[in-house]
Amino acid sequence: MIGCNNIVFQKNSPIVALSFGKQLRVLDYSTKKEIKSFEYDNSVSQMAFDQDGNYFAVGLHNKKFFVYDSNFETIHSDALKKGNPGSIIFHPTEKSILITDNVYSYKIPFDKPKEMEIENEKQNKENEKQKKKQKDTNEHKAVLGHTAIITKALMTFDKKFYITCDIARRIRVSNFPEIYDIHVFCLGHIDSVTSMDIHPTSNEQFLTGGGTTDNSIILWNLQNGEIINQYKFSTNTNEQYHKKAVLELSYCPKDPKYFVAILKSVPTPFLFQINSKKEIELVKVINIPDFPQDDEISNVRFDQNSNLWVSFQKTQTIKILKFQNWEENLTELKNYIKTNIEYTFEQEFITKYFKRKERFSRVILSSFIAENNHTPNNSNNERKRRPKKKWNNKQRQKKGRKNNPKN
Amino acid sequence: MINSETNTEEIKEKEIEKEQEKESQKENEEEKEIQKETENDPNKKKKMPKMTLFRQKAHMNPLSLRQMDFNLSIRPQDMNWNDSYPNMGKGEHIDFADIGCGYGGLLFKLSEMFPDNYSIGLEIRGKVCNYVKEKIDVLRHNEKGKYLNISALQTNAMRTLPHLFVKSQLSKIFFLFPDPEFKKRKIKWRIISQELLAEYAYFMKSGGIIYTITDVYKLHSWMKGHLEEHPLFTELTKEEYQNDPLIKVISTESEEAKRVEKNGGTKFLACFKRK
Repeated sequence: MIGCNNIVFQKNSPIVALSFGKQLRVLDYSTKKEIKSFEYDNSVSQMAFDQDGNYFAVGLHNKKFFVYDSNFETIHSDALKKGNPGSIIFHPTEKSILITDNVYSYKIPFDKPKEMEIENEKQNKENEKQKKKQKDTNEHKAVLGHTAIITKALMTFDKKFYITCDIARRIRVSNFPEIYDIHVFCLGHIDSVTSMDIHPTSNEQFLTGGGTTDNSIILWNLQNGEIINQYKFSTNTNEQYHKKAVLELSYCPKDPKYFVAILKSVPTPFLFQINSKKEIELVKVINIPDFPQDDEISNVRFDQNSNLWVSFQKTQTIKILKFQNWEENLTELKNYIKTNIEYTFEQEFITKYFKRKERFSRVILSSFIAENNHTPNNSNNERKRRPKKKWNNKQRQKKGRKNNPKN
Repeated sequence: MINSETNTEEIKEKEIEKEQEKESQKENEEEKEIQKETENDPNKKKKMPKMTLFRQKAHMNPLSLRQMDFNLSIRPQDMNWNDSYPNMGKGEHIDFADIGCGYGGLLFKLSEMFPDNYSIGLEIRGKVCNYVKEKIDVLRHNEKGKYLNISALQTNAMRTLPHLFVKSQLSKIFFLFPDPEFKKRKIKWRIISQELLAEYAYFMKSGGIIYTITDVYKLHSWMKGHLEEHPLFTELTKEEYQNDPLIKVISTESEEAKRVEKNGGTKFLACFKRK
């Protein structure tokens, strides 16, 4: 059984998109009705809405991505060349998308295709030749590039800055319409930067969370690139919180002093507050009642009404907690979703590994080994070895003196 | 048959050899003591290091993660430059950068032409960087008061530039005879590309100049095309090409340039200015 990976809200309207592996559900949580459901060949990695609510984009682990209309009909379907799409953002003025690859980020336009009027057979052949030429030159040019894997990319609410983080502890803030012009580099993390969130109203600060050895949350000043304050989980007395990566961060839209963070394989989300002195304080450790057994939290998001949505990895329920009355008022989103999803994640993982062995990314492999203590090929870590080659006399003469013991 | 004579002869030879070894060991120890005395002796001159002992293979993967990437300080303001520049004051900073400096031919000429400006050479190969460091130490010892404004550092320039420099600090950057990397899968190893030019433009002042020179025409068209496409760089005019004294230095001073002249190849220049 697979649970919910991603939760994405639309601005100023009660529409939600939830992804359960290969399936995708779009709901209206005020009227509690399902608008549409999609099914794909491969699991979903990222989704995004437009600001006005006209367009919707989906990216898969298949290197493919789709763009939909307001009525959820396909406008554009395309595939990247190297790597899966990481994070998707819509351009505010033009009709184009900013997609991040493993290492690059592209700007790809989407438009409704024009209908070609065909009169003769000659025009048919010319049109086909033009289509072939367009395909050859249709390689997407990169707008931005890092030397290590990009984990997240976001844009400020002003649409003036475009921020990207990567595994090599680097945060790059670049001006928006002119992405070739870098504004500032933010440096301070010791390990890779795993999560990031942006203030909903002001243009001066943003948050990032670090990896396993870093284990901290940093408040940055966007104009200077300096650290305002840093909170380290290693100062906490509880040892379960030491040496764990910060998976997700989210600001509360109504009251942006508060924000919530989750650590990897820790069953409680944390509530923080930013002081008037601009310091980070731990307010509360939220205990979720009726926590399912042998399960972990996968995602945490705030609503427009500042309700907290919590999703899990294996069960298919989503718990909604109300603001400042966390453990009392609790509703469950169980009956809105029809649960017919049954396949084991591990089998699909193993088949993928055999098919695309050369292009398998090291990041996923290392996480699989860390969890299961063996590679997906063999459980005993046995290696197949080729039998030794025996050289003939002719081959020895070609190779030279070293391999020929007679000389 | 017992050959007692040969045995005694052999024994005598062995004894003689042992005495000779002891004498040679004593001589070596005496030489080392003399060297220690003359290390800081200002009257005696040191020998220059030999280039043949510091050879290393030319190709290294710049995209792999190495331990030397994590040894630098995280913020450039915390970096301590007093080990490499002993006379550096508080308000002073580095002006020129030579990326891929090799055996350091350009650096020694820059210290003579610009005695008031500090320059640094970045190199990824360890042995070659040690050669430059030893040569600088020898020259500083032999000629007092000179060569105090240059140094070399072993880093990967594609990854660690934000840890070394601050925004708009440098005024000149040099790329002399970089590695062409002809194959398609190695194009991402080239030192000039559309993504890296944004970083070089971030570290340079307005009015700063990038100097590039190569032997290979394919690389020259690649670098010139990318620099022209980037909207923050403009090409130098013909007058500026003639008036700049550094352009002759570039094409004659480094070791690669001398090798090109021997083989009789042509050199292609491309110098651009930052807006």
